[in-house]
Amino acid sequence: MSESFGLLLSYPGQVIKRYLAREKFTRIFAVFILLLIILFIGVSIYVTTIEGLNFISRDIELRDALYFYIAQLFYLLVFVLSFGNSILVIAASFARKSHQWIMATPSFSIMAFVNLFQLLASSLWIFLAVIIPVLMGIAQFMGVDGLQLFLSFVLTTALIIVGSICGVLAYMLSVYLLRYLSTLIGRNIVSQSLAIILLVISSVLMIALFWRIAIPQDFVKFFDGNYIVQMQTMKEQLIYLPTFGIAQVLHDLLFCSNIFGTTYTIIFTGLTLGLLITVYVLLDKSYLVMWQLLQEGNYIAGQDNKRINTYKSYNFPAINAVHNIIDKELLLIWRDKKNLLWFVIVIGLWLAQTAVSWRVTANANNYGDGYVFPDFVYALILAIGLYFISALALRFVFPTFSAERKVAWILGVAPISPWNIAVGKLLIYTGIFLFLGSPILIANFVILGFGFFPALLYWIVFSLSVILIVLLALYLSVAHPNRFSSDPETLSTTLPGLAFTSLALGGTIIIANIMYLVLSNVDLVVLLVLLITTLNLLLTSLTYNVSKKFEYAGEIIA
Amino acid sequence: MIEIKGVSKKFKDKTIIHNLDLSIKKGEFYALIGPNGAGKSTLIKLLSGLLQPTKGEILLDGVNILENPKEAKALIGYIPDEPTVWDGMTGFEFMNFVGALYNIPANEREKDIKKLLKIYNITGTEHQLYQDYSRGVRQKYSILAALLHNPSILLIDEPIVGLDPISIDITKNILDEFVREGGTVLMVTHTLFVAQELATRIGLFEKGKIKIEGTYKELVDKAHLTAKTSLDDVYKNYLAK
Repeated sequence: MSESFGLLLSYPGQVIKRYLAREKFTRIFAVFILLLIILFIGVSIYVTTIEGLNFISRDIELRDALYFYIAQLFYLLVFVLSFGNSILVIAASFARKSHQWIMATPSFSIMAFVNLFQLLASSLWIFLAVIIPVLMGIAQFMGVDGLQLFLSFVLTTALIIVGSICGVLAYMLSVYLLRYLSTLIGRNIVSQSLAIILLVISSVLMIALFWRIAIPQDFVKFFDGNYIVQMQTMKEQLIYLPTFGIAQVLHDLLFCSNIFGTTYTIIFTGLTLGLLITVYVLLDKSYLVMWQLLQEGNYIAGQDNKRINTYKSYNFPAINAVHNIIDKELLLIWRDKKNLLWFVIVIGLWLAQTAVSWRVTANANNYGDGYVFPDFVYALILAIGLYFISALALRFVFPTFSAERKVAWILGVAPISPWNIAVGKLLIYTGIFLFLGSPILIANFVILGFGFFPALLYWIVFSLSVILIVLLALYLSVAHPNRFSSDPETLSTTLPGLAFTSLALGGTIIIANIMYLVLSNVDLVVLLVLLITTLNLLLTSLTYNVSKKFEYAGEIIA
Repeated sequence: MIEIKGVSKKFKDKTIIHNLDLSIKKGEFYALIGPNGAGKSTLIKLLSGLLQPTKGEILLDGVNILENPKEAKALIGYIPDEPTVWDGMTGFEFMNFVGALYNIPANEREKDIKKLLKIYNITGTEHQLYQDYSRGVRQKYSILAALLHNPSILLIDEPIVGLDPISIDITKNILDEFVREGGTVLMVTHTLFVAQELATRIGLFEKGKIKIEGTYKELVDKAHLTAKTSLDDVYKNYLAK
């Protein structure tokens, strides 16, 4: 067992060594560029945080209460995202057939460690990349010292770990619940799909409950009175949130320079470590049983399959190759419950943000003749929309050519070119993202009372940016197909995956900033539209060129 | 007809196929045998258009696969060594999708699929998900999918892995009939008895080159072995040299 741990721990080092073994200079340069992009994103988030706080600080009556409220919402969001990510990663780990050979060895329990490690690593790096600049921005604005900033990092890391662990526990609980129900009804109903459906329902209910608690019916009453009254009202309502206590510690650390924050951070970190060890022991003990339960399925070897459910098969009525690729993508998205869970989580969060806009506006309008929101709010709405589209593109578009590695023999030998396949994927994913995203974006603008003409400009820029994001993901997918993994979670952490994340987020920040400036200078929008259109044409041409040289198979090592 | 003219394939700086020339006539069944790592699967992937040659040209019934890939691919039926399909598709959807890629009209496809399923007696499995199929059923679907568009050339990488003895006999009959009707077959295999029974010509492939080729009888004679020797012994005899 210790041998396997040794091998496992040396793996990341070997990956880096292998990566730098060839074309060392080019690869170091690529990593350097990537780090620069990440730095740019970090700086943008940092500046935006300071600007936002600066805006809030102008309202002397509300600002202190708002700081507390922001800390509460911020940690609630971090918890929900860690929880959701954790469910997706742990569910995927039980679906991997490639782990079968490890599970057949006496070292099978190492997979509990591997999965827990992978889960925490995938949650931590992306969140910390965004969260660190936010915390640094707050610390800079509030003028707190380095120790408190460090403790806020520790606290946030601990929260992400707790959120992830809760996701693992929820997944384990749903599997064991299905197992218990199976014994009650005398038929095995344990499956990945059912476990995920159960979690989707619970997650939607949980988010609805949190939303009900976190977003007050009447903001004016919520922030009525002096600071003491405001805090009292908020605490009475927000105390039911699972992150209430820890968010209060963050508030103490960064906004109040309160010494109690330090003590509580140490206690919370200790509790988190204890919880992490407990969950590892639990997972270690039950991993094999869960694996066995979730690997069981129907087994069709001939005609005698009367007990097994049949599906209404789709008959691909079109003859056009691109049309068939579109139909195939839609069918597979629909049949994969994990895909649907992704859409539910991302669109659900976007709708929750829209509902917040609606609640805030309706509330403001009750007290005046139409509240006018500052310009940056509209640019922020655009940035949020493009962020969600980037998250969907990272999950669905970027891995698309790598994910078809094992089925490449079907598409690769058929009389259809890789370019036709890429066009099919471009059309379907752009279509889905625009179909889902446009109504939500427009709803936000209508709710916030944005004028028709600027809203139209924003929508045009949004649509062109969606095409840009999908094209970028598609180009990287064709140019850098991964021959070793078809797992979207693993692929998103490869160098091309990180490049996509960085470029998509960096682009989103630039576009949103330009659109903010557009409100005071309309000529800029023409330039921006031209720029995005040019980039779209360039990426189309690049994708066409790489698709001509695309090979469906790699070197066969025998 | 398959014509391979001076084909080489390199992966980075490693050459897998060395300046290969090979011609397989219409109605011929050519079996390529050889040790692991010889380059057999790479060759079949080059012929099926899954890989591009570094040098040389490949003509399928006179059509250059590099210049006219769509036209050339329409002539091929490919049976892979690993019959992996999207887990979320039913067998019927998979066959239908493949048929649609080859421009077979939907109504014709349905009739053809029903007819093909009867060959292996797997009617009744077609509306269930691929993820639930056994290895054998998956292999049967991949063989049937390769036949759906009536190809003139079959490229086969290990045809009988996972099949039970009765299904192996059915597969041999399918291939035999295909060749008798004028089809061309190139099969890569380690299952030497199938090559011995079906192939009209056998090539021993090693380090990206054909070491020796001929009919089974010619190979036995060249090795100076007795007439009753199996291809297995012939193979070992040549490799020992």
